[in-house]
Parts: sequence; structure tokens; C-alpha cells
Amino acid sequence: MDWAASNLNSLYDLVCRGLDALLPFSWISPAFMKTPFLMMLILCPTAAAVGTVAVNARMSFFTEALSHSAFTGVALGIMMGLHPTLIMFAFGCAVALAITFLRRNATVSMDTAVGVMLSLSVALGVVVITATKFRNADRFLFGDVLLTEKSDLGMALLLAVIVFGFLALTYNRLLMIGLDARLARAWGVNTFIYEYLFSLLVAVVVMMSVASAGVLLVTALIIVPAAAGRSLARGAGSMFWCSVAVSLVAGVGGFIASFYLNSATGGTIVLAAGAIFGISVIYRAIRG
Amino acid sequence: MSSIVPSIAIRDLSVSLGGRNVLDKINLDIPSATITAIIGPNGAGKTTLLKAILGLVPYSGTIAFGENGSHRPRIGYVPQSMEIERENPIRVADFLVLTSRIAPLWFGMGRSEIARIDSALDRVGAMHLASRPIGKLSGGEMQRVLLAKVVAEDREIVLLDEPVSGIDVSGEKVFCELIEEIQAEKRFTLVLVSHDLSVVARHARNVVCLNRQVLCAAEPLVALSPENIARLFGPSQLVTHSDTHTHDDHAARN
Repeated sequence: MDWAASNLNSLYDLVCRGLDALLPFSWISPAFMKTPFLMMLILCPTAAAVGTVAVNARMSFFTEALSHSAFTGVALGIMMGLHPTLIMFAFGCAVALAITFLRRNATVSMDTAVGVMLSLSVALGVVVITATKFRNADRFLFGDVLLTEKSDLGMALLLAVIVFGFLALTYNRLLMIGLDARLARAWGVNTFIYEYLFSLLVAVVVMMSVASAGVLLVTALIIVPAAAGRSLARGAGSMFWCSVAVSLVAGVGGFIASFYLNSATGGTIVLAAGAIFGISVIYRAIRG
Repeated sequence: MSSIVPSIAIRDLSVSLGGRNVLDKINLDIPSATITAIIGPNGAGKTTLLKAILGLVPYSGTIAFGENGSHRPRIGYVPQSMEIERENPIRVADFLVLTSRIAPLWFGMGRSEIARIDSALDRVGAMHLASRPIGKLSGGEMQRVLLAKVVAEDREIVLLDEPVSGIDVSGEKVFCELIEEIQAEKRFTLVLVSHDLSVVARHARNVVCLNRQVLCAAEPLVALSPENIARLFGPSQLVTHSDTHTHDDHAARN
């Protein structure tokens, strides 16, 4: 562990020196701005990559439900006297598995399954928060990428490697399942494994993003760049690259804009992504 | 192409959906490397039988493939219709490799893969669709694309549900002839569900009359006798019934 930490530290120092050389601007020069900027450079493309598959499978509402369960997870952790972040991840994964189970096995549609689980987890959150007198909810509701610590970067990097590695092996089949799960199964795809693993992946990305973007904005971080990328794309491959590119442009643009406008960073990034989405819709309408 | 071309042996197959017995103790042998048509009235369980073969619905009884029943064949399925959002940007060429290719489409396709896809699309007369987004395909075009998938992937058993349901009447004949040609070339076991008895009479070598149970399984001349048709669809139906039905379907869609 020490070995890994010292290597990560020297990598971090190297990247920071690189940033100073490449971007000699006032918004990035303070040391406390570099960590959040790097966090955003890791998180935005990771969220957008997952979003590409989630949007194709009409899972926007599913993502929304998971982000709300993060709040309940934290409250549960505090109530039980356990590590809140750990419980948040565990609770998010449990909600993701429960929704996937309901959708696959019960005679309810995806939006009903998600709606029921969303209501239940929010209700549980309200009950727990009231009981524990948990008053420090703002950070989870709104998040703040500027509060990112150096230690968070290692986790985010690990998550990004897992997400891109998983998608590199499953992207094509996940797209097929998103188009028509029954057809995918008929053509020999093991939808059971893919659907459960992908729901877990979305849960982990959502939980990881909560601290940076907040419960209210996580969905936007995952869905909006992917929606814009989809409008701009001309194929399954370019859909992925367009989404990642939109998230990076919105991430960097929003980050810089928030520095000069003195606005909330997460919100500004999502607004920038929203602006690109608007442009992409107009482009799509013109292209036909 | 694979050397093993399995048949399907179905024993005591029952499927119950929502408390209703859709298929009731079916026993049926589907011969290999030939065209078998399944006919029957609405609600007879034709599509359910295909889904049971595909393992998409829970069932009791056994479905065995191949001579000793242990071979799990590569099955291709062409459903009646698919609901894909119109704005979906996935192209037909991408769609054709989604289930067969591991490397993500982020890095594009290699030349040999493009050539393989193009030749499969060319074989079904759909070369012009290669770069079309799948959201913009009509029902008939989608079936043609799935037929190209069958060609590209050398499937041993192919299940077609209402192969002419998304096609206009003039395209119907061409499409059925194409299916028959490809089947003769690739020698896979083809099972098709059809409302259209003229299609069945022209193309199938074996006909299964199904109405929750197998009423008859024989060659077309025997299975499509007026007595059998009356027994299957009711006494007022004639063989021409199906042609009217297809035209009605087409009119309803427009």
C-alpha cells in the first residue's frame, strides 16, 4: 500500500508540473484547483462512457433512483455508526440489484420498478435522517468538486480503469441488450450476467460521483453528455467518442467558467453539457 | 459451415403464461436441414413455441437438439417486429456484429469484418442499408438485416416469426424466395411461423398445424388439406383466408 501511495504521489506531482507547463492560467495555478480539475478530467469521461450504454438502454430514470439512494446510504451509515461512504456504496449496489431483479423477474415494467425503489429509498432516507438529526445534508445534495482531496483521485482513477476495462469487453453486447434484451438473449447473449454487472457498474459510478457533483446532479453528469453524444454520432463507435468528448468539453469549459463566474462548479459543468445538448439537438434537426 | 445440422425433438412441452395454458403437452420432431412451417389461428401458441425453443419462456417437458440431444446449436431468431427509437444512431453494419464481436466498436471495424458484413448484406439485397441508422429501418428492412445476420454468422437453426409481416405484398414473394434460396445454400434447419398459407404451401417441406396442441405434422399437401384447415381455423375458413389476412394486416399498418 505504501509503495502504491508513494507512486501515486510522485505521479500526482508530475501531472501537476505538467499542468503548470501546459496551462499557464490563473484558474489552474493554485494547488487547491489542480486536484478538483484532475478529478473532473477523470470523472466526466468515466460517467459519460457509462452514460452511453445507459441512455441506449433507456436507463436514465434508473440512474436517477440510484443517485437518490446515495443520500439514504449515507444517513444509514451515520445511524449505524459505520463508515458512511462504505454504507453508501453498499446501499447503492443493493438498490441497483433490487431494481434489476424486479425488472427481470416481476411482471412490472422498468419505470414502475425504478419508481417503487426510488420512493422506498427516499422514504427510508427521510425516516433515518429525521431519527438521526442528520443536518449536514448539503454536501450530499449539491456536492462540491472543489472539496476533492488528493486521496479521492486514486479511487477515481481505479474506478475509471475498471469502467473502461469492463466496457471494452462488454460494450457491443450491452448495446444489443439495450436495443432489445430478448433478441440479445435469443442470439446467445447471457443477459443475466451483463445486466446485473452493468447495474452494479452504474451504481459504483453514481456513488463515486456523488461527492463531486451531489445527489441532484449525478444523473446529469452521466446522462446529458451521452444524450448529446448520441445526437451528434453516426454509429455505435462514434456514439462513445462523441459522449466522452462532450463530457470533456463541458467539464473543462464549465470548470473554467465557474472560476470566473464564481458559480457552483458541478452545476456549471452540467449547464455547459446542457448547452452542448441543445446545440446537438438543433444539429440533429438540421441534419435530419 | 458447421457439419452438425441438428433437428429439434420436443417432448411433453407445456407452457403456461399468466395462468393460461398456451401450449399443452406438445410432442414434435422438427427435421434437420429443411423448412418447417408452423400454422395456426391467433393465440394458438406459435410464437410461444419459438420462444420456448429459444429458452425465452419457462416451460415443462424437454427440448433436445441434434442426434443425441446434447448438442447446443447456434440459433438465429428473426422476430415479427422490434421497437427501436427512431433517433438511435447505431448503424446496420454495427448492429450486425454486436453479439458476435468482443472488441468494442470504439476502434472501428477491420477490413475483413467490413467485407464479411457487406457480403452478407449483399446476399439479402440490403447492401444499401449498411450505414443506415437502425432506428430508421422499416419492419421489412429490419427482417432483411436479421437475415443478413443469419448469413454472416452461419447459424444452425433459424427461427422466423411471421417473415412477411413487415413487408408489402409485392416484396413478400421476393423475400420468401430469398429465404428459401439461403436455406438451400446454407442447409440450416428453418422453422417459420406464418399466417399466410400460400407462403407455407410454396416454401415449406413440413407443416405443423398448431392450436395449443399439435393437430397435425406432415408434408404440405397432407397438412393443408381442407379438413385439416377447417379443423385448425374453424369450418368457415378456406385456404385463401390467409391472403386476405396479410392484406388486412398491411392495410391496418398504413
